Formats: sequence, C-alpha cells, structure tokens
Amino acid sequence: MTLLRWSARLPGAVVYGALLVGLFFAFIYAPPEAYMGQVYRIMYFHISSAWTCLVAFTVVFVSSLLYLLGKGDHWDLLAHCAGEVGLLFTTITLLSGSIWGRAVWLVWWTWEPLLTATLILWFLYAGYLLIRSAAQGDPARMRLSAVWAVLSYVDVPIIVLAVAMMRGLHPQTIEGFNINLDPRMTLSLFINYAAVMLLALYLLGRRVQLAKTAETVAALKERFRF
Amino acid sequence: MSGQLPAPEQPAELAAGLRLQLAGVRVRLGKSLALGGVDLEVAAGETVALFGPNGAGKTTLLRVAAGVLAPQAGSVRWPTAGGGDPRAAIGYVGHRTFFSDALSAHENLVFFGRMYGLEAAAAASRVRELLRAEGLILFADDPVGGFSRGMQQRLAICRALMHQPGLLLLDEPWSGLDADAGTRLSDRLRAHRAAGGSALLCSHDFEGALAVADRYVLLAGGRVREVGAAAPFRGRAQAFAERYREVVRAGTRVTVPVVTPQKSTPMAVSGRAGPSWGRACLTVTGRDLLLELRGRENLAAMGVFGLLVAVTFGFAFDPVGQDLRPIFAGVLLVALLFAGLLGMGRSFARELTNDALSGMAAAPCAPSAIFYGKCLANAAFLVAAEVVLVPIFFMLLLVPFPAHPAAFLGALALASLGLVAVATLTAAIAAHTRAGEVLQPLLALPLLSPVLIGAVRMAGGTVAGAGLAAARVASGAPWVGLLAAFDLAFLALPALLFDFVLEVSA
Repeated sequence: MTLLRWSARLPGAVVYGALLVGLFFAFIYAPPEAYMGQVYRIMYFHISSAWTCLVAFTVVFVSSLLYLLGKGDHWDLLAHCAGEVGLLFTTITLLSGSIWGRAVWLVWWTWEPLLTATLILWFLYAGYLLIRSAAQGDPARMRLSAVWAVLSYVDVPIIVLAVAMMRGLHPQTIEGFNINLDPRMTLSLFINYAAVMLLALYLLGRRVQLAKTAETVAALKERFRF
Repeated sequence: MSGQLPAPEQPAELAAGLRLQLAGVRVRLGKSLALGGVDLEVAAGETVALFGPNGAGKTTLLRVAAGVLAPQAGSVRWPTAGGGDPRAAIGYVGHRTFFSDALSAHENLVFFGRMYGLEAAAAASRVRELLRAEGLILFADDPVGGFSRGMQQRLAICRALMHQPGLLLLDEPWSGLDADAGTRLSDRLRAHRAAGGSALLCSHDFEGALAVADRYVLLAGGRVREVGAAAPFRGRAQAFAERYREVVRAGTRVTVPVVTPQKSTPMAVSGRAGPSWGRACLTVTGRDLLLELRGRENLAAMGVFGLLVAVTFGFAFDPVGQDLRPIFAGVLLVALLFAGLLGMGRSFARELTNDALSGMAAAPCAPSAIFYGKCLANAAFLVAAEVVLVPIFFMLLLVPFPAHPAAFLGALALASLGLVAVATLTAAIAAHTRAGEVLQPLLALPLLSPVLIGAVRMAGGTVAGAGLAAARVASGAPWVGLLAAFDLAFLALPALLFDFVLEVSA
C-alpha cells in the first residue's frame, strides 16, 4: 500500500523517461539475434508485459483473498484496479506474441502451451472484470467477484500444467535460474522489464486514485441524500 | 430540531432477557446506505413494530436480524438462542415467499421443515396441522404457483411457524391477507407473545401492528428516529400517523432507550437444532430432483441439445465417408460440456423467482450443504443425460465402442465431476449478475479448459482404433492426476467460498 501511495505521486515524466531508456536498450544497445534478426526485439516488450501481467494477477489474488478475509474494502479496490492493469498487459502480451509468431513461425496463432494458457488467462480475468463491473458498489457482489478472482488464480497453475503437457515450440528464454541469452540482451530485457513494471505501477496508482475519487463523490452524494 | 417534538412514552416494563440485539448496524446495498448505524433490541416476550417510509431500511434490518445479510459494521446478536445456530430459533417471513412455484404447498413446507431440522414424519404432521389451522388443507397438494397472493402469504406464515421459533421476523405480514386471515395472524402473534415468544415486524398498517406490539420503532433514512411504547396509540392510528409524519418530516434522531436485560431466560417456545450437514445437503438434492420431476427442464434441455449436436456433427463431418475416431472424444466431450452448462446453468437462476435462496440462507444449515446438494442433483441430471447421449453419439457418428471401456468411462467420470463442480459454482455466480445466462458459459469455459484438454487426451486414445489404442491409453495416464487435482480443487474450494456467493442472494 505504501508502494501504491508512492506510485500515485510518481511523476509521469519519470515513467516516460524509463520507457525511453528501455527503448534505447531494446533497439540500439542490444545486438540483433542470429536467426531472427531485428524482429526478435519485440521480445523486450512481449516478455516484460507477460511478467508484468503475472505480477498484476498475483496482486489481484492476494488482494481478493485479504478482502474476503475481512481486511477492508481497499483490498477489493486494489484487486479491481490490478485486474484492469493485468488484463491490459495480457492483451499486449497476446498481441505482441502474435506479431512475433507471424514473423518467426509464419502464423498469427498456434496452439502453443504458453499462448493457450495466456489466452485462457485473458478470458478468466475478463470474466472477473465483468462480474466486478456488475457489482456497482454492492459489497455482496464485490465479494462475489473476489471469489471469482481466487478461483481463477487457483485454475492458472492447472491450466499451465495442462497445456505444458501438450508439446510446444515456444522458445524457453528462461529455464530455472539460467537465462539463454547474450548478456547484453539479458541486461536490455531486465531494463525493459523494470520500465514496464514502473509503467504498470504508475497506471495502478493512478487508477486507484481515480477509483478513490469516485468513492468520495459517491459518499458525498450519500451525505446529501440523508 | 430534535427538541421540538415531545419525547415518546416508554413501556413500563420489558420481559426478561434479550432475543435480538443490534448495535451500530451499518449496511450498504449497492451505492446506497440502507442502514446507517442502527441500535435495536427485542426482549423475550416482546413484540416490536417497525414503521418507516419506503426505502427506510425496514426490510434490510429484518434481513440482518434473520442472519441472512451480514452487516458491514456493527453487530447482531441473539443472546437467548443458546449455543447452536441462532437461525434455528428464528421464523422469517420476507418480502417474497421463498417457495418453488412448481412444488405443492405440502412439498414446499416439508422442505423448509427439513431444512430446520424436523424429521420427515414430524415435518409432514406439522404441515398438516398448520395448513388445517390456516384453512389451506384442501390445497395442500396444489402447486404454489397457482395460489393467490393472499394464499401464498398465509403459506409463508405457516413456513415461518414450522419449527416453532422463539423469534418471529415478519416483513409486511398482513400484506395481501383478507380480514379473517389478518385477524388470525394478530391472534397468532398475541398467542406467540403470551407463550414467551418475541417478534419484530414491519408494516404500513399502523392500527394492526400497534394492536399487537409493545413498542414501536420509527425508521427513516436507514436510522432509528424514535422508539416508544405502543399502548398509548392503540386504537388511535390517526394520532400515531400524525406523530409518524412529524418525526419523519423533522428528520430528528433520538437517543434510543437501551433495554437493560434482566437475566437471560431460555425461550418458552424454543427453536430446534438445525439439520446435520448431510441431511441438509440431501434435502436440497431431493428438492431439486422433485422440481425436475415436475418441470422436466434440465434433462430435456441437456438431452435434446446433445442429440442436436450429434446430428449436426453427423451432417457436418459425413461419418460414412470418413473415419471420425480421431476427433470423436473431442466432439463428444464438447457436446456434453455445452449440454451440461445449458442444463445446470439454471439451477440457481430459477431459485431467484421467489427468492428461495434467501429462504435457504435463513435456515440453520451450512451454505456449503446447499452447494453440494445442488451439485449432487446436477450430477444426477448429467449422468442421466450421458447414459442416453453417449451411446447415441457412438451410433450416429459410426464409431465403435472402445476396446478399453474402463479408461474411457474413467475419463468421462472425471470430466463429469469437474463439469458439475464448475457449472454449479458458475451458475450460482452468474445468477447474481446482469445477463447471467450469457455470462455463465463465459465464466465456465475458460475454467474448464484443463478438464477438456485432459479428458480428450485420456478418452481419445480409447476410441482411436485398435493399433493405436494401447499406446494412447498409456499416454493418457498422466492426465488422470491432472483431472483428479482439478476435480478436487473445484469440489473443495466452494466449501470455503460458497457462503460469499450465497450472501448475494440474501
């Protein structure tokens, strides 16, 4: 929560600056890839977005669980906002993966384990946002969406396991603690990941601030109602 | 402003012990604050009448008092209910009747009697006794859907009295009743009070309610505005109406006089212990099976839909011209999955018609018992549909029955278990959202993807042909663990999470 308050005050210029640094590392500092040439550079945004969406969905799960355990309404608000940010970065992951796949595998979509699992993840959290948007501030319905968030997260490892048991072509950039990349590429990847995470945090902070403002307006209306 | 109105008279003496105690109860419904910090107490042997304009929070307050709606702040206690589930000592008549239209008066009342822990014979005997007293015995075997509003209300009162509760919570109990039934209800309330029972009732009928009440409470804007003795206004409804208008218009907030309970006494008309978890579960299953017997909605939907899919695939794939064995398992499981979602999708939505879920939530049983009861009924429907559909798929798509039926049937069983758990849970969630029937497949299908992948991999090998069968059956073995893990997770999780789902209907 402290991190969130800090991120809400984070100046946009810092985030945009970090993204520019990321772009420098992705397009100028990192060398071209031996087989894929320049097109591989989409990896810096694709992988960064994929990791970021997983972090966001973990935030949704933990916050929803804390909300269900009665730790306060602000956890549900955080879960909702993190769900929106997570879905945004899942969409970026899917789109960038599809463009990359078209260039490398010559198809826009293939039933790759990781692609399939990510697509299902997108559907699960789109469902979460549908239920959450129907809550309209009703606490009982907010708890319903929190239940769905918990169920969705529990299903994720099962989905990943299921699709991983199918065969796949997706490159394994990271295996355990080993990164199969040129050190310059590794550095560029982590700098881009940091920049994308900063962007996600910035968006989350602003979204939470917006939701709190909406709540304050609703509370003021209530005061005048009675 | 509060000083402009003279203070209301207070009852001289309250009976010993408290039956209900609400302190600082705050409830937000949607974006509105339904109750903004309500303090209220009902003593043993006391009847309290709750008055207030539309939207004052009367119904919400009764729901909180009935234990079906948890307040966001404050506390609700039933001090003399003993150590068991306090809902066993409460008889609740809500805005809606909680009945299933397709079931008879007798079946509906027996169901609720069983949910409150009555043995089958005792419940049936109590139903006859109440229906006879209420003049409804001739209609005992008629479907409730055909009853007039007044008859349904009389039946709802019978439902609340089934388990002889110590505390009655009545929301507009005289609504729809004719003169005789209204008088009978007033007499019942006096008799209940005389036996040591308590009641909290809300009404717009000042005369009727003040005639049976010891105290009145005026509620407006989700807050208690005035509490006073009913006796001075008995037979003076006009004078009370004037005071009511003054208080509501003035928007005053009085300090609620605190009832100092004497030593808590056991209830003269005590509640019973609730049913065991298993009995509650089976009672819900039995009711759903009975409903299916009356309406034949689920099985017909599943069966006809599955048959249509088989025929449609027959047209599309030309089974005579090509071998469908490689895709048969996928086709069959997708058809069963959609048929299952179609049939089970309504298992909770249909309970919303008369708010039957609120009635179940008010009963002294664990929410998980309701979920697993529904699951059992849905499993029975799915198995019945599969018994018919699976042979039809083999016949119409010209695929020989597998050489290893155990592996095939094992895959089908594991897939069906996961499907039942997820479909029942998503049906409950979707029932409480906008466009729920459209939303349910959107929620369930992504969640069920491991089931589909695993079951197709397991069952696919068994129908793939003699040469490949053995190898593919062996390759399907690892999927057993995955399917079992999925089934276990989605059968166990609702035990922890279903009370949050049920709370929405309350």
